[in-house]
Amino acid sequence: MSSLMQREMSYALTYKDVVDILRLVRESAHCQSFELQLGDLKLSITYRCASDAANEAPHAGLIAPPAVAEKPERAPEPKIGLDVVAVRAPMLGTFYRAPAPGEPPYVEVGDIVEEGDTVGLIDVMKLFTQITAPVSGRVVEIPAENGALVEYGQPLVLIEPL
Amino acid sequence: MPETKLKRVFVANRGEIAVRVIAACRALGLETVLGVSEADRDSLGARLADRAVCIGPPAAAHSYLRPDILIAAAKGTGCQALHPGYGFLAERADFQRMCAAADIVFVGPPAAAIEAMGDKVNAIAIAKRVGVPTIPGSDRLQSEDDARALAQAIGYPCLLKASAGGGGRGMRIVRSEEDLAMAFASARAEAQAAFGDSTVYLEKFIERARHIEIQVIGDLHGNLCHLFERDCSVQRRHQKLVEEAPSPALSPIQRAEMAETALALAREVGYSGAGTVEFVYDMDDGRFYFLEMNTRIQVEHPVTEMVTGIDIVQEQLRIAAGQPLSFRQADVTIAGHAIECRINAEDAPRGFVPSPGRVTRWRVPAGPDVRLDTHCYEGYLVPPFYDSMIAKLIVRGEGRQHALDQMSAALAAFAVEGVATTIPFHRAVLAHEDFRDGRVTTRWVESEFLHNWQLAA
Repeated sequence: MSSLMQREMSYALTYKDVVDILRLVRESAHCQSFELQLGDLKLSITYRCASDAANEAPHAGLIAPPAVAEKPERAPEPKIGLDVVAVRAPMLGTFYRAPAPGEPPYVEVGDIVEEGDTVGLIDVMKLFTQITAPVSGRVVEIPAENGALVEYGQPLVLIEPL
Repeated sequence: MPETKLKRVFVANRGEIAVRVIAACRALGLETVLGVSEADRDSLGARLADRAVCIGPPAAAHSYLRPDILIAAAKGTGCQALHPGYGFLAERADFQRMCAAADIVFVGPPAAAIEAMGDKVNAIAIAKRVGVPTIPGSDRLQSEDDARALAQAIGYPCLLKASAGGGGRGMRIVRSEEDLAMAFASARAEAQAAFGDSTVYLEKFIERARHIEIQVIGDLHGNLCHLFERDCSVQRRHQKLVEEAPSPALSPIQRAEMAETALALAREVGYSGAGTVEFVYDMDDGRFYFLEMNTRIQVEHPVTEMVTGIDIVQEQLRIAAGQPLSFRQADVTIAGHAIECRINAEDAPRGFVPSPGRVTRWRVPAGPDVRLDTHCYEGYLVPPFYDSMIAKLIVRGEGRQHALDQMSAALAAFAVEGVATTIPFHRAVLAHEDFRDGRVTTRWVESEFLHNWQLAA
């Protein structure tokens, strides 16, 4: 062992650090991408602002197949950011966004919800289970389609905690 | 398959039988949707099915045993039929009815037949009615005094058995009156835990027995056939480990009698679909007695397929689609001899303790008369949540001796690492003189083989 030991800066990157970095990147008017390397950990962020996104095709779970499909296909898994909480289906069943047909949906994208608010229903052979928000926050995406079959663990509503 | 409204089948099971059913569907041009628990998301079945849907967490109670979830999954994916496999909900009449109510064809017999044969005491009563020989025994026991009186009449040794289920659970051998009280209490407790029903009944215990069963299959057009027998006498704790077809113990006359008896029973309950009538064969006097009927596809169905050339799972699907059997009784013959070894992820020398884990090496035997029904592959993580069977190795030979040699060779070529398997156990059984001579009884493994084998190991 060499008597001259190289001391390396050691720094533990926490989850909160990553969330803070994401916020900083997003809030910056000019920052488009960010890269950080710490030892064998590499964090790479590319931020696309709203005007970029509008020019692209929607990417997550918005084109879900009808409940009885021609071919047995499934909706693609939505991309879920690090600072977003996914409300996942506690059971397989049919997902409904409103209490009954014709009524307004429990939540829409942009709504603020409190922890415990109902955000949807899952129907298993006419037995309905309320799906509730596990945190307070803003609904940023609803990847599950109304009336579609959702699987156990499938993301239904994405909430950004506030 | 000719034009039928059946286009897509929901497979409500897992492991090797899920793979088997998917393969049969594929051969018939049917689409498949597989229900998987979280632990089975990456299973071979999930990769082979046209679509896999996650039905719940790993625990079977929250996934494979949820009739409402399975039906919701089948309906939600546009399936017209559901195949329940074996185990799980395969013999639940209420599940069959729920499928029917949801306009899903259940690949299996009518609910009434499942119900009639599901209660073992009831099944025996029906057997008696049709003149099918039954083991001298009792009706449901009301009390310990009841048990004592009936055991006196039947004679010792006798067997206490659960009325609500089989698989060896809720069973106790009683050799004398002094053992009765404890055996009665413990059988009832186990029956309660296993089936939610503590009712037990008594049966004469046949010391030197073979387990021989007849495969039956019937369509919805009134055709009911048998596909001869399977001998499943190599058992441990009433779980089958090695099966073969035909049975080395039966003469042609006995075979014909047993087959006719099985058909008479199936006819009596209006049976359709695939089913198996199980018998106890007394080696001491050559008589056989009705044991129970299983109203589903059985684990060991491949040995029958190998010697008759009939694909039983495909027939099940055809029957469900309303088509007639693809053969007539007169067409059914036995050619050659087949043996199956159930390969479990268990450490046999250490009391068959389950050995889940990742399979790091999976080198399988192959050949024209070698068949491997499995869901395993190199790198597969054998989950701890379900039964330990990882593969069924089946061989066919020109005669029994040839089949024995084929099986020994196949087992020798089967190399698995990462999990313990019962391959060494099977190799020892196949090499054993008692098995080779075809003279094992259902108690052979436990009372003669294991002790000597574990000493030698």
